[in-house]
Amino acid sequence: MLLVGNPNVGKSTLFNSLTGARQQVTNAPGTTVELQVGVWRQGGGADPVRLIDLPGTYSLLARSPDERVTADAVAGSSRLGRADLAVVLVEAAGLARSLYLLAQVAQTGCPLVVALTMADVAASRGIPVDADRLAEVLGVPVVAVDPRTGAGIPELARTVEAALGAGPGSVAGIEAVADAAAADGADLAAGLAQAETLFGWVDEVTRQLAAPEPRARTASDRVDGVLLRPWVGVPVFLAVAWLLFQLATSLAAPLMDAVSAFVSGPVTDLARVLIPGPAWLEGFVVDGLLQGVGTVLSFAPLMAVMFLAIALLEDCGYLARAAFVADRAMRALGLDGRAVLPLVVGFGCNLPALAATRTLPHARQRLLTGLLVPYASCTARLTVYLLLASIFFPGHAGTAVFLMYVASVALIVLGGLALRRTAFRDLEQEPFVLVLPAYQRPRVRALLLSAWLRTRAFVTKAGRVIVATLAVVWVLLAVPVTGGHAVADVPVHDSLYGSAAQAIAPALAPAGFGEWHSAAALVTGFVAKEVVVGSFAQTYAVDEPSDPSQAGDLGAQMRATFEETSGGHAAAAAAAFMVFVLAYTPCVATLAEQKRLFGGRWTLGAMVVQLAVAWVLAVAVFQVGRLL
Amino acid sequence: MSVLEDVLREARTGATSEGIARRLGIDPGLAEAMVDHWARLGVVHQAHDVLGCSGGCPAAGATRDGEATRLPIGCAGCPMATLPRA
Repeated sequence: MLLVGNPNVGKSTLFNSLTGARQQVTNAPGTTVELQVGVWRQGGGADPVRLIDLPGTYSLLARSPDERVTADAVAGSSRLGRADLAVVLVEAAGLARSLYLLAQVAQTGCPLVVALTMADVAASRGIPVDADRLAEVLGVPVVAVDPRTGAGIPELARTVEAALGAGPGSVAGIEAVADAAAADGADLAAGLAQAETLFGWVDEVTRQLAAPEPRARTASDRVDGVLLRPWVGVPVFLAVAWLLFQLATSLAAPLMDAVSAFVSGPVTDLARVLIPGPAWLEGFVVDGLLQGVGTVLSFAPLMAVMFLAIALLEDCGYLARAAFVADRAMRALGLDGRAVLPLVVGFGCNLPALAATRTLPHARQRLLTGLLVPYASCTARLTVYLLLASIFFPGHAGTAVFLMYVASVALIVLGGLALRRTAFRDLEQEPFVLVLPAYQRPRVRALLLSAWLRTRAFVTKAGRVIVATLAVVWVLLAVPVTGGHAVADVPVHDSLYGSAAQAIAPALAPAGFGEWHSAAALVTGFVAKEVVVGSFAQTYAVDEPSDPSQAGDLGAQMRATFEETSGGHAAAAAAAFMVFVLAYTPCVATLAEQKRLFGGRWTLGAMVVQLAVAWVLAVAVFQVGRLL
Repeated sequence: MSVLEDVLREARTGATSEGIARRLGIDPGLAEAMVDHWARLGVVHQAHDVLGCSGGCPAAGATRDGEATRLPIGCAGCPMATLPRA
């Protein structure tokens, strides 16, 4: 005998109540899905019944291994064999969804009885469901039970015993269907026709039990009526994003300063005292690791504020509206609406965004979207924007960062348009429908937990990557390429790292930041964008400026360098650097994922194009910016 | 046009399941079941299933009203997807 029902209708509680300690956990045949199997001794001389608690589902059209097990067991197509009877739990407080599953079970021809749960909850909501009336409408036995108290279980036992003896009964209005392919969704047209029949039946049954009351337009509907209009929705979204960056940068600034001062002060002093042995070891730890990791750690408060703000937008239901508006805008430009979701995910991290392209139905759609994902500005790049914006655009840092996100969206749209008009002209638009969540009051615990998990992941991931990369960088800084220097005692310019960065630097001169610190930061940024900030901190820490006036904190040193390389247009050069970081390869992990998904040729081509786009845009931004 | 198709048409205009039910004059649970059916066929997307970490970490919000929520496919490969759920 099977226990079938929607998730959280009290199925497992009923199972425990019926079987007591006579139960075991076993894998469903041929799967790793766990099933609870028990023996129900009903008493009164009735034979014990083998009872299987199936995973909860809303539909037998399965979309997970758990649901597949339930669908197969109900259809009798699994190695569990054909069940003698199914006890279908119907939730009184969510009648329509339960009835749809009941109809699907009935359609398989599996005999069934109904256990009506949560009748008290339904009554308290003013939508009482009478078990006798339901039984009359359905034409099968219905027993009201409360698995928590055991109320109704003796009656359920009697009903089950009677049903097992009487043979299969049928639900009024539902005919058993032999075409398993249609029921399983394999034949779409037939499946839709069947679903339509079942939903029609559910509608009729619910109307017989209680006529639906006309519902007034809610506040949520009224807000959506305004926000979902493109000419309102887009400006509102931009305003919300701008406010978010303004709030985050101004709120987090004192916290960032405090963390930075703590790392460069007491922590560094302690490290100098504690580290024994040669000077190179102290240099490695203090100038290498502490500088890099400490600088990135100082961003943790800001990232926490950002994550909290974004989680707030999501949890209240606004972010889905933004995605909906973005979809409309994309379609207006001739781009496929389905590409919106992976791209939106890309603003969190490009790696899962590439994974999300798997939701797209066609290989070329996946490729097109996968080529655009790297232009979605991930949170790792945010650290670079924040560092440069706070140094070069003090007082307008939030606006500067906001504009980087606008630039990111512009790159995606323009890149998408260019690809659709060249290599992807044959692609047809697919329909995309996003059902919106209701607006809701944000859940404080979920918000805090979300922000905490994201911040922790940022710190630990960044920490690991930065420590590994900066350790390699430090080794490269310690290796001399000119004679007369010992290993680990070499001026930066004569080190392997310094000379390599200097070789690249001239190519960046037209963008206003053609010097080795910036070149080195961009090279290490290939590993991960979090390392860019760490690289700046490390290279400036180990490189004593020849001009004492250029000494100072990281900000002062970077300002001095950019002023020098840009001919007095440091802000334009900083903007160009940020644009370069936005447009070039996000990280090694993204390249690896792209290669896995799309092959080496496309990945190499995309990387070359990204570098070219980054260079051209950075040069354009600087050359235009210096004129302003 | 069938009710199932009416639900799809309403969803395209930008609506919640509740809003669709109100506009079509059907039970909200029925509208929700029909939206779920279209989602299972891959025709519609439900925001909490697909938006992923762009809108706060789904691993952190993995329980909604006491109900286990499936993590979006966008979370594949994300180290946070393996963290203990709320």
